[in-house]
Amino acid sequence: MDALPARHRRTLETQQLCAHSVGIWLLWPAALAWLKYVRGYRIRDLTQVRRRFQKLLAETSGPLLLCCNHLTWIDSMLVQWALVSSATASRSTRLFVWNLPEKKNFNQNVGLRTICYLGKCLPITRGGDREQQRLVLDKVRHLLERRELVLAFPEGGRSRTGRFDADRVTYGVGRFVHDAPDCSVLCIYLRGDGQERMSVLPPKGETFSVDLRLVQPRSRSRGLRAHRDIARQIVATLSEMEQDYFDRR
Amino acid sequence: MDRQAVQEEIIRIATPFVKAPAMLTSVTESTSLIDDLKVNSARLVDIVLAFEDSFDIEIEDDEADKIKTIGQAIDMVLTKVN
Repeated sequence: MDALPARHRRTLETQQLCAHSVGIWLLWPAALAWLKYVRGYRIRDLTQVRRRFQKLLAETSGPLLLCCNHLTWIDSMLVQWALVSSATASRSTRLFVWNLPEKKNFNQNVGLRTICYLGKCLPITRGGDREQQRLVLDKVRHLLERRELVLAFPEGGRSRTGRFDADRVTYGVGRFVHDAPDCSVLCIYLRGDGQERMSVLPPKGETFSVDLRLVQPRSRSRGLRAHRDIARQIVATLSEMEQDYFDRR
Repeated sequence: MDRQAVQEEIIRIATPFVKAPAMLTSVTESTSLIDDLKVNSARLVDIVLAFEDSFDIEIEDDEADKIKTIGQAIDMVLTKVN
């Protein structure tokens, strides 16, 4: 049974409608132009990354949560760019993914709040009021049950060490997966060639590598213990992907 | 199990996760795990799971969400143990 109250379901539907009618067609192309032509970013082997994403997507039938390491404020934009073209997202709006940014970073003015809203963001206050967090968790569960794609950063914030920081991982991602039956997790390792530590923006002209790995984390435990087990499996995958990245470099 | 013994065990369990260890010397039942002892909210889950192991009890998600202070943790444990 859907735990999300009807008024919050309507709020989400309204945001989705606005994002699909304005965000995808105006905001996202403008954001892409900024990434490509103003900042000069490039994603290595972009076509292969997108093909691999489509292949992995086809392998899943249930809910799909995307989990990525986190080093800059624009990681969610870079992931969106890496996974599908603007044209593909406009044809299949499910592929324009939901994000869970830290509220204080995107709540500073009306402009940022509007961008956030149209960019399918559900702001969350990390370590904040439990009721507010629970509402966001319920919204995410609702979205996953409807096969919407949701991107989460298991570290909860940008890594302070420059490496995937397993010690900071919150178990919320474990709860998402546990609460959505048959949920798969697409682990995404994203890193710019020159990105040594966290920053607001990657340096101009940066080239990014993107690695994707699909996992089905499960736990035989229940409740919080299951959330922790599942989160730890996601952590292990992202840690392996990071090790692979540095081994290849 | 008396209240004092439960408090001591709770503090022992929480200590490795506390980011403000100086506060441990003046812990009262109104001390907040997150705001005063600076326990990361994710690590609060580890603490609750350690309570389950240590006191041989089960704490549901909703109940865990209500644990904010040492006093609330003691109340939760005593309710379950008894």
